[in-house]
Amino acid sequence: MRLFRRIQYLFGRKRRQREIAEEIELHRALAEEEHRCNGLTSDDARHAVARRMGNATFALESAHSIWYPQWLEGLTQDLKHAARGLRRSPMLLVMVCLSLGLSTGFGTALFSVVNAVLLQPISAADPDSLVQFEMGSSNRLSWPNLQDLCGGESGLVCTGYSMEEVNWQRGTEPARIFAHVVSSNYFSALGISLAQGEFSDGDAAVVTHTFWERQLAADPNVIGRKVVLNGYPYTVVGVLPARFRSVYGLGVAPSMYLPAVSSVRAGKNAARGEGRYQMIGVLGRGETIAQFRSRLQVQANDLQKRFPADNVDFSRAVRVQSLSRYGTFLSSRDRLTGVMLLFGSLLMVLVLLLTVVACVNVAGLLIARAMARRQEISVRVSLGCGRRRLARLLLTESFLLSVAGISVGAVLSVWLARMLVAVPLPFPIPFEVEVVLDWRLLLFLTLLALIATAVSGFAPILQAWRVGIGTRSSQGVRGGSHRWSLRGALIVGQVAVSTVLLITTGLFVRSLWAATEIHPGFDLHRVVTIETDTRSVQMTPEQVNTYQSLLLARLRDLPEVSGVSGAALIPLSLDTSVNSLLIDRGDKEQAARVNTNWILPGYFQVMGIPLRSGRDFAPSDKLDKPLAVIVNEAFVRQHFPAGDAIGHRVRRPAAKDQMLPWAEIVGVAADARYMTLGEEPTPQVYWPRGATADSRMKVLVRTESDVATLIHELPAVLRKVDARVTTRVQPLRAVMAIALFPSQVAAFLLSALGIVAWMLSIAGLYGVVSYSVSRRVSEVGLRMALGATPGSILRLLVSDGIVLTSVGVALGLALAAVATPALAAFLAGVAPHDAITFGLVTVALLITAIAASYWPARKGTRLAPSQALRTD
Amino acid sequence: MGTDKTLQPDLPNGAVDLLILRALLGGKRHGYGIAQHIRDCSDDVLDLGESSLYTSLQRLLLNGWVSAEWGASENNRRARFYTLTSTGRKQLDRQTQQFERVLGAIQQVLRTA
Repeated sequence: MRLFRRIQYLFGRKRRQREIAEEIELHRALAEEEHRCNGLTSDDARHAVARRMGNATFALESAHSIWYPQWLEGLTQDLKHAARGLRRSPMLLVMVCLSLGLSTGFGTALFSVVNAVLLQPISAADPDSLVQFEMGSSNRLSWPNLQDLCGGESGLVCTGYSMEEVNWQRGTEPARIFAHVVSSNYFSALGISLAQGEFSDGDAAVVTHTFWERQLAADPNVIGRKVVLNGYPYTVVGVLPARFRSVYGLGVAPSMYLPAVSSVRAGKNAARGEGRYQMIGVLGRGETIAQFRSRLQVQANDLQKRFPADNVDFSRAVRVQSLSRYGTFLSSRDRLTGVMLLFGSLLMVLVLLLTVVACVNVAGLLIARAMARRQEISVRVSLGCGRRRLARLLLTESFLLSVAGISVGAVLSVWLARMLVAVPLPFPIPFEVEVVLDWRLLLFLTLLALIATAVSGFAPILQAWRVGIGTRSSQGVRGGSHRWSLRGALIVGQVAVSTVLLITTGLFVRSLWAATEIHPGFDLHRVVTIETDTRSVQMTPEQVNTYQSLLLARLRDLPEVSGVSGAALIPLSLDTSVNSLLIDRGDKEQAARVNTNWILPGYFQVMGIPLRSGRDFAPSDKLDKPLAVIVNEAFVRQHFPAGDAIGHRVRRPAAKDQMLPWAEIVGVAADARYMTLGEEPTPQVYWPRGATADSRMKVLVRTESDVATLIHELPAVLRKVDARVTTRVQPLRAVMAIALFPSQVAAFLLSALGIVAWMLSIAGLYGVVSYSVSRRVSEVGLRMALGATPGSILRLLVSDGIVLTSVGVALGLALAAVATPALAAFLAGVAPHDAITFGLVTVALLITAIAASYWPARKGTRLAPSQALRTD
Repeated sequence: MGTDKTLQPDLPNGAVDLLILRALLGGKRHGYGIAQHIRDCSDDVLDLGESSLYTSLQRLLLNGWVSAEWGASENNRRARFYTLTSTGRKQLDRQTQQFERVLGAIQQVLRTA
């Protein structure tokens, strides 16, 4: 109650004070009246009362102080005073807001984005209970096998999914979207409930919240609405909840979920030998992965016994691994997880460094300011301002400054994070990322900045305490070699710290660039892919063949094209195929697991994969003719350590009781990445593409001239061949976008961070140097009065700045040279004494120093001597 | 008024509070009225100064022992009238007892020592 009354009072402070004053006045008036009644003249009465009552103001303040404690009053005064002081030096305020704001804002925003992209769990009731599993030679399971496993009789809870590209008829024009084809129990197994509707088998579609909002205009009656996919009508039966994260993680968001059981897919699902679905298993309560694996093993044995022809190797090769709660793209099989962790910790280190740079900036500015204020402070001290009071005043100022800076940072971080996420990604697959600001980090950075300002606020206080009463107040800030050396030390120190931090940041950035530098084993930059899909046109297989050979011929005729080939799968895209292979060892057949692709002649030349020995395919090599096969070096290392692979025979396992013929290894190609950039070289086999027509083909075109121009020209060429066929032209890089995504993001974020660190260093350096030059204005005035020319003064001031900066840079370089070897463990591919980083930082800082001293110096020389002399 | 026997003694805060609460027991009064009442009752011995009077009144307001409302004074000027609240009344009883015990004790010491 007391507190409530107190707060009530504070809100009506002015009025309440007036009321007390009024009461006191009335009191006096009544007392005077009484005196007059007792026979005094009005003048005498007034004097008597005044004598009797004492100081009215004192009474008022005493009454007022009941409500408003003295210390609070003092604090308010300090804050007002500090705010007035800061308003008088807007440059300081701007610099501090820039430094603290940029560092806390940028750091928090970057971390929030990383957090949103990488560290959000997939949507599932219990992500930790999910595993991925495979059996047999392929990484996918066929629909009949999936049903036997997950149908309920096996006792296993599991489900399957497959990402597919779909043509969606939007109005009159087709749009390509990505769909997740999933088994009926997908949502129930993962424990996801839809926002609207219910998932069901048949020609039905569940759309994502974003798709519903953006593409279907948030239609309230969307359930039951028809969408045409690949030419077939589907019915929308459900909408996913907002903020749904697919199992892939990274914010990859297929636009819709289609049931695997539908009239359209009936044919595709029939073959038991054709793996189409990636599998997710759900662990029982308290079950370990090993226990799940042994249950799965029983089922695998059974499946192989029942269908030996299709389910080759099932019992021998059961693979189970936990599904990372951050999605399959970040699952532990890959080195990528390690890279991500390293990246995350690096990012934290850099954000910290950034904040340190900012705090150093602020400290430098405050110290410079304190030096300039020695006169003011010594006046205050000699007028009787207590030391504690002085300290409180100065600390209030630092505190106000950091609050201002951090407020800017908070606003900036919200804005930056929104902007970063809104940047459209050049990927075919939609990404949806929800940025939630990381308040813990912001709080942490805020604390850091507050501590830093408090610490830097103490420097002026110590300085102030050293100023004795009455001493040097007449000298002010003018003259004195001691002062000059302090200011010089400040610049040297600031430059040295900036140098060390810039070099550290630079090394990290370069190291990550190097670590994420793309070495996929093929040429990413000179290749354009063309995907053609004849499903939209009714064509006989012969017509498809004719179309495809005509297309290849037309492309070869183009002058800027230096090679044309084709492949069933494009490495590092979402399509992968891992299969079994049997190697002829004379008396027995040895099974091997290999990455597989089917290619046209010229593939290695177009992709820039060197052929180590043997030959490329010839047009006569067809999958179904006397067979030739090409393997990679990893295959040779693993299966033919003597290096004599060429001439040996391999074949694919029998399918449907039919023995496939042997194929001869005719060539060895260099290793190239297949599934992820982070993978170790894996055995791979290239088969010649079959003669049977596939309605879809991926054509690869190589050019030695500009890729962008070629991409621009190709659609016209394709239309001329057959305008009805759906085609898509894009650079190879774009197809591999998913694989490249993490490293691109890392490189982008780190570069951005490096740039901000550099900007901060520049701001700090500029602030201190220009401040110190501007403090010498009176000296400039004196020199000019004594006949110095503006030119000579400019040279003097600028060369002073350069000398001090050089000393600082030299000191910083020496410090960095000592410090950076300690970072060697974090630096991949960059030497701790990387000459480029060291050199660039030196040059950048020197240029900054020249600019920082030049402008204020020029301003100084323009002042009239009489004016400059008076300035202080 | 202003006679020799009038004192402005250095009363402790608690005593001033007690005197004011007691003065309000007879009904609402404004600040000057309270001072006048205390002076009259004490045969002009206790004359509260403005500072201790109004500081004490604010303290009583803060504690919720008195309430205040604006009204017209005898000479028709705006004046703030104070009234004892129920908690103020309880406080008065408690403090009076306490004060009497302390006073009795002091007198006893003064007599015997």
